[in-house]
Amino acid sequence: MKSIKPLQALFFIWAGWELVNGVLSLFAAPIGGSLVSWAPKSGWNADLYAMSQQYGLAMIVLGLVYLVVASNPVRYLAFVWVVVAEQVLGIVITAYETFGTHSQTVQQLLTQVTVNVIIAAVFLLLRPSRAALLGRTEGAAAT
Amino acid sequence: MTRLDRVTLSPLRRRRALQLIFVFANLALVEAHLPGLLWLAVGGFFWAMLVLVSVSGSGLVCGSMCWIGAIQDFAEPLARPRVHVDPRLGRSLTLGLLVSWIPVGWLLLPAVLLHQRTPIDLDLGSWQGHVFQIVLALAIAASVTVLGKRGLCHSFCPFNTVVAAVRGAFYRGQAVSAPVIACARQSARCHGCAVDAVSSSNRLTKVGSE
Repeated sequence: MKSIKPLQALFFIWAGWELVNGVLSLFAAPIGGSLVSWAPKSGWNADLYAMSQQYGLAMIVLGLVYLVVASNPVRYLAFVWVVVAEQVLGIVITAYETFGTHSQTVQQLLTQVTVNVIIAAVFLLLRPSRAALLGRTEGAAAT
Repeated sequence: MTRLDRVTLSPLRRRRALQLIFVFANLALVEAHLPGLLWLAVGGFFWAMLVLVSVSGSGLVCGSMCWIGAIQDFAEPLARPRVHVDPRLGRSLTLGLLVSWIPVGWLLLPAVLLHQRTPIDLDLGSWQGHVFQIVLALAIAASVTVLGKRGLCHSFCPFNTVVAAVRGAFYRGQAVSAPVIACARQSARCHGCAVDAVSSSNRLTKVGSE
């Protein structure tokens, strides 16, 4: 049976990362951007600062949600799919910025895609199977 | 049972898959260079998180996330302990090196102090930045032929010493569960990696046995 502890630890680490990323994107946009290798080709302007602040707020909310998830990953297991969706969205948005608005380079896209795929894969690998969870529930009921 | 459940890997394969992912990430994504203040702070926070989750009893960091441990596991068939290094000395030296190399680097290259260059970058143009990582990976793999299975972890890695120290500070004067006491007592001759590795996989035997 898969232990839930590694997933719990991962959610805790992930929550910490999201909070740091969020706070920096909110209060120090260029530094927050540099955390994820994100830098606008044409430099920072007022619109991008506003966008970064909105992104930062979203990251802070997600970070707090993941902290709650880390407290009981079995109960909130479906939130693994939120992490996966976050990665997919990241890829889609960066692809649009690269090929649609041309505000990102192909190299930035490659980095972004690689990081997103790795994060999604790690979460999915640590996600316990339904059978394991059923065994866990039955075990708890038996004791 | 869902389709995803049907493709669930065995614990050992799952652990190996995770290890492969983290080895790949360190070789392809991480560019070794002297960090500025920003990345020292971010890195420090990241390591503090890793220490905290390990203090809580999770084996994720040493068992699956650590790429240095993973490479040693992959090179396990070549493992043979030929040299014994005192873990106290080895770990102290490594910790000293890890703490001091950044300030020393800043003294030599003061301009680096304020740069925000990220170490996470899949820059295929600057392959030199990744060569260090690849050479390091080869050296780590070769180390098992001299130090034995997980010998680097046992003799030189200060992570579990730090975890044991933090755990000891957390639980000082409290009635704690047996595993915590056992682990805290092992701070001098730590088997943290062994405990983590064994808990991650039934097939792995005791690591770094003395």
